[in-house]
Amino acid sequence: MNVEQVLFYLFAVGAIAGCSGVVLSRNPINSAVSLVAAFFFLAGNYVLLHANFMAIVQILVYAGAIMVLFLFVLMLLNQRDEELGPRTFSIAPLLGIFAAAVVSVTIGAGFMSYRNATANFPGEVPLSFGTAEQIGRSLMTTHLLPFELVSLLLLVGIVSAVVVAKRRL
Amino acid sequence: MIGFTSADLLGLLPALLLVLAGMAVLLLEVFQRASFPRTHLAYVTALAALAAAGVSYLIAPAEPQTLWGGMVRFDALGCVITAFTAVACAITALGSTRYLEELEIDRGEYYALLLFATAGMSVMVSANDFVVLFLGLEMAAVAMYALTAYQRRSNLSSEAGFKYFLLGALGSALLVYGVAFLTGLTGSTGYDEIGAALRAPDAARHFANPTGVVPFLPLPLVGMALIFVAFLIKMAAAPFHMWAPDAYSGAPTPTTGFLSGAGKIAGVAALFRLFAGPFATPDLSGGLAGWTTLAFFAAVASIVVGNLVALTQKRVRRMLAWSSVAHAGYLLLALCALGVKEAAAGSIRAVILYGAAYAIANAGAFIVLAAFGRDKAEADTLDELSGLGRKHPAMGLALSLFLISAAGLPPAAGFVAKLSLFSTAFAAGEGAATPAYCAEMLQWLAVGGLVLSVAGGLAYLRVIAHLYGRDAHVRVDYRPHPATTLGVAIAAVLTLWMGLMPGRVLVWGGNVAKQLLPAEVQAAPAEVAPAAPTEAPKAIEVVPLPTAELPL
Amino acid sequence: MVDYGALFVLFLFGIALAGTIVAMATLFGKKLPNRYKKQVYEAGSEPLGDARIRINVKFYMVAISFVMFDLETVFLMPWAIVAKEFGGAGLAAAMFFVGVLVVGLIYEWRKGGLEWE
Repeated sequence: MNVEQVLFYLFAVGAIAGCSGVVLSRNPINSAVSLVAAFFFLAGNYVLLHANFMAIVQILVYAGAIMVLFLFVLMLLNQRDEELGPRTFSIAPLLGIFAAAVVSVTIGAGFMSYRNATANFPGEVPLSFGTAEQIGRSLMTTHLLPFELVSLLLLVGIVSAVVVAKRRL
Repeated sequence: MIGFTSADLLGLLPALLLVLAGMAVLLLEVFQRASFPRTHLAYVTALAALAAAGVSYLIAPAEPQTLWGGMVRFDALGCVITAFTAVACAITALGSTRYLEELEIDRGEYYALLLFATAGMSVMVSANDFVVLFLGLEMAAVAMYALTAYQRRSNLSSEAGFKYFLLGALGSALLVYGVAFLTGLTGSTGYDEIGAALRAPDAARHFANPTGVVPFLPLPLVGMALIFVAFLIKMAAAPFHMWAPDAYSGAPTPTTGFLSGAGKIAGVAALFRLFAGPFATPDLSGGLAGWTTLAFFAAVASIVVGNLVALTQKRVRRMLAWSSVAHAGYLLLALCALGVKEAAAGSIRAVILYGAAYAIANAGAFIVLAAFGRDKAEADTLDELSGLGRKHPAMGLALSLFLISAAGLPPAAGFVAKLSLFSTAFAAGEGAATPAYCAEMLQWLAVGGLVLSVAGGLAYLRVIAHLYGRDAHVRVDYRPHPATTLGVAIAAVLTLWMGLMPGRVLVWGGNVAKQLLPAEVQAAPAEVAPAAPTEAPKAIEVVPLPTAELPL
Repeated sequence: MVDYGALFVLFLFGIALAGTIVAMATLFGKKLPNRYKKQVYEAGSEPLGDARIRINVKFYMVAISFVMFDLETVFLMPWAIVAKEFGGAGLAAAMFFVGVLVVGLIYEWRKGGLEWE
């Protein structure tokens, strides 16, 4: 195993642990903080994929801005432990785990079929692949339309936020 | 160099028009005095939407073109669906005026969001790349979440918006997850590139089971299934329909017609583009993808659940919500038939006609319902509607027409649509190239679907029976507004036109099929023309399929 | 991986520097504790009560507006880096992007979405 592989497994396990924390924690604030950890580990994996710009944006926007928004909402609701109610047994999580296991096995078997594959996978990318410069070029050429559509999506988001969340209209 | 030409802009002109109109409405809203009647904005919206519909009719290309460097497919499918969703948007905007005034929520954002949602749908059906598909879908979806939760003082509306948002977000996540599989395997997000990679000679390696022991799902199928499920959620098809009744009955009444009608046909059109394009095997047998089976089970579940539960509903809007699940099932039935070579072209014609009829009649039905109201609420239970058809003959007649269309009875558009749909499904069952199990099942489904659509029809007829019932409800009245009258008139005329003279729409459907399907499928011998409705009364003018291919 | 070696060293150096300073202060610093020094540092406000207070809903509007315009910056930055390459046409493309969001800003401003109501 080279350094890259070690780091990959480190980040991957970290991300999975973080996500498990989000689902398993009973306190929503803990869930949110686990999500921040998961975002950081994911950012690490982006770096391994040479997606540097994405990694930084992941940390700035997701772990920064969007998590602040999450925490605002959680603090707005401000559920206390006693409000969460006692732990109760229900069949639903077990069914969920069963379904997740089935899906994991089938998809995992799908991945296994590529273990020894040497056929032309879109594997290696140049080191400059995920720099802001390359992304800028892509946004101006092949992805020009998505670039403009994003602004429209953001506009719809702004209007929707005002319509739904503003106190007086 | 930066890459777009005027041709690229022309292809997206309807969407651009809708977006610019939406922004203009937003600016008008904030720069006008509070006393400025917002009803004017409804007219602006309707005008812009009708203009967009007209433009997409005029610019429809004779040959499909690929624009924006492969990101957008500019063809008859996109143009036809854009035109019908835009007309549904116009009808909804016109029908919302008085309703919003009554509830004191008549503000410009409402109309702007309607326009943005329509633009998003237009982008979504024209997409030839998953990135564009996702952005169009999200634009439409976000606008629709806000429209659902628009009535902020009503807890029901907020709850509806919340449920719709959560399930919609889940659907979007599944879509992205599915796309991630396909992009990971092929290195591209473009439909054409993904399709080429899945049909390449070396694609067999994706489908071979390496272990032979572990249950194995080839990764392209995982991606496809996830994308398909995402669309089922968005279209409210069973078994992913649980959000729909609450969302549809909590949303402001006029928007519900738009959400359930236009939203569904945009979703199914995007699915048709996917399954006739990148996910199709060379002969469109559906064998490789196996999605016909998925579509089949979703169609069965939707038709059964939707029709049967609709029968039990006491509230009209919930009844319409449940039967919209059934309509999603019928649209998916057409998708099953797409997988059969002999019926592919017929299924596209049927889905265009069915979608158009459903979107228009549904928008019309909901705006009439919104106009029947008492105090600050709309009439919702069957009892409250009773006698209104006698009191207000014109509106009663219009609502009856829309419900008859949804039930699939002549002379409304829904009749011809259901006819061509079921005849296609039958033809698909007889297709020689069909996998044997598919043939049998499709024919049984067509029979079962017919029987169940009678059950669904009863639910609609019960509403009509109440409309013309003996005792009028004292407090419920019709709230007139010139805009509403105009909207209802447009919807009624279009529904009658498509019902009596479906020839033109079928020609459009034929154009869509011609441009969407590969050449070898079109050469298939058994062209399924919707048979002349022999059981129809003589008064109905049945227009045979014109042979000349008019440019759309 | 070589390319990130320098960054990794910087990380290590930062951690080591901060650790050293804190360790030195703990080891060699003079400690004269009193009641006020032992209090939790809370930026001048009284450190009493529960940290988990209910936040005013007004913050939400501010936060969501921030996220929206934050994302605008994220998309503009890659363009800004290569702006020279794409010249006027690139500027026009970016201006459409900004223009759409300016409409959003004007809308929100006039609606009072930026007010502390």
